Amino acid sequence: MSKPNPAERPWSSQLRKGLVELTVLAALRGVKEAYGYELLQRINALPGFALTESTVYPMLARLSKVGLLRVRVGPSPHGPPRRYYALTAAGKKHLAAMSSEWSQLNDSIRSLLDEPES
Amino acid sequence: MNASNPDPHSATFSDDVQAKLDAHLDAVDAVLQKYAQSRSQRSAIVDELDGQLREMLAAKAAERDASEVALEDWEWVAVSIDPPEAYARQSIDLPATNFTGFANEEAAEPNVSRWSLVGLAWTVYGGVALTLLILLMLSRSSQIVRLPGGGVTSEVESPSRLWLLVLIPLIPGLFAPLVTTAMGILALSQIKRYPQKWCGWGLAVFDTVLFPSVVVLGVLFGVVWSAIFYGVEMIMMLNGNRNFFDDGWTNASVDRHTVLQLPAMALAGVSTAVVLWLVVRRLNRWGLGEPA
Repeated sequence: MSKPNPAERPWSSQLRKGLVELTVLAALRGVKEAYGYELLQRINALPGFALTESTVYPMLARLSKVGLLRVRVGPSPHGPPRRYYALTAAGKKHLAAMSSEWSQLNDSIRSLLDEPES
Repeated sequence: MNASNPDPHSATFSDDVQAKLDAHLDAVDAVLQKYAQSRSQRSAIVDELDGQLREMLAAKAAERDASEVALEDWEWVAVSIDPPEAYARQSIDLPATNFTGFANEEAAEPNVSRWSLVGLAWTVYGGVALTLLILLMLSRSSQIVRLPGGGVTSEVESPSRLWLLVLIPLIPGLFAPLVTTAMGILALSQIKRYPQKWCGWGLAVFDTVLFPSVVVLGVLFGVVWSAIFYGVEMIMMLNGNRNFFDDGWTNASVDRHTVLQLPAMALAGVSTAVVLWLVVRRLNRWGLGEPA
C-alpha cells in the first residue's frame, strides 16, 4: 500500500482528509458489499488517492456505529471473521446529500477557476 | 471486486510472524484505548487490520511460492503499513459523523488550546509566587530589640510557620519561565496540527516568547551596558580622568549610572523588539504552512 507523500502540501492533505467519509461511502455505492481491505484497495486504485488503514478502518467503525453502514460478518480464510460493509438506507441518503454538496462546491470552485484572468 | 489473490488455505504463519503480528495489533489496540475508542470500535478496527495483514502476508509468501509466511514477509509488510501512533492521529482528526452534511460539521467551533491556557495560568501563578517571596524577604528585615541591661541589639525575624506553609505550594510557580514556554510550544504544535479542533494561536505565541524575551532583554542590556560602561571608562582614562564614576561627580544632580543605563536600556529594548518581531513573524508563517 502506498504511503502519503510527506512533502504533500498541507491544503491538499486537509482536503483529502475532509473527503474521507464521502470517499468511503461512495466506494461502497457501486458494490453490494465489501470488507475493509477490499475497500481500501478499491479506493487506492483510483488516481490521486493514498488512504491508509489507520484512516479507513476507524472511519468504517464510526460509520457503522452511527447507522450509515450495515455490517455482515462472514468467514475468512485466515484470522478473524471478515466484516462486510454495505450502505444502509440512511447511508444512501447521507451519501446523496454529501454528493450534492460536493457537486455544488466543485461547480462553484470550477466556475471561479474558469474565470479569465484579469 | 477482487482483492489480492493468494492461496488462502496454503499459507501458515510461523511463531515469529505470529508474535510480530500480535505485538502490532496489541500496540494499535492500546493506542485506540488511550484515545477513548469503545471496546466494540477497537475490536472492529483491530479485526480489520488483522485480516488485512494476514492477507498481505499470505500474498507475499505466495509470491515466493512458500507455504509458510516467514519473518522476511513480515518485514516487507511492516514497512508499508501505518505505525500504531497513526491511529491516535486519526482518532482525533476525524470529526464524528452526522447526518446533515458539511455545513453542520463546520459549525463545531474550535476551543482555545488547553496548553496555552495552562501556560498563561502558570505565568500568573509565578507572578504571585514571586511577589509573595519578595514580601517574605522584606518582612524579615531586622528589628531593634532592647536588652535587659539597657543596651540594644538587632535581630532578623525568622519567617513564621504560617508564611512557610503559604509559600510551599507557591514554589512550583517559580518554574513559570520553563513551564509557560513549554506549554506555549505544545500549544503551537497542537493548534498547527489540529486547527479545526484548537485555536488561540496568539496566546500560544505569547506563552512561547514571553520569558525568552525577558532573557534576551536582560542579556542585551547587560552587553550594551557593559560596552557603554567600559567604553566611557576607557575614554575618560585616555583623556586623563581616571574614573568617570568615582571622581567626585557623586554630588552631581543626575546620577551618571542612570544617565548611561537609559540609552543601554533603550537600545536593548529596541533590539529585543526587533528580535521578537522576527520570531513571531517566523512562528506565524510556520503556523500558516508558509516557507519561513
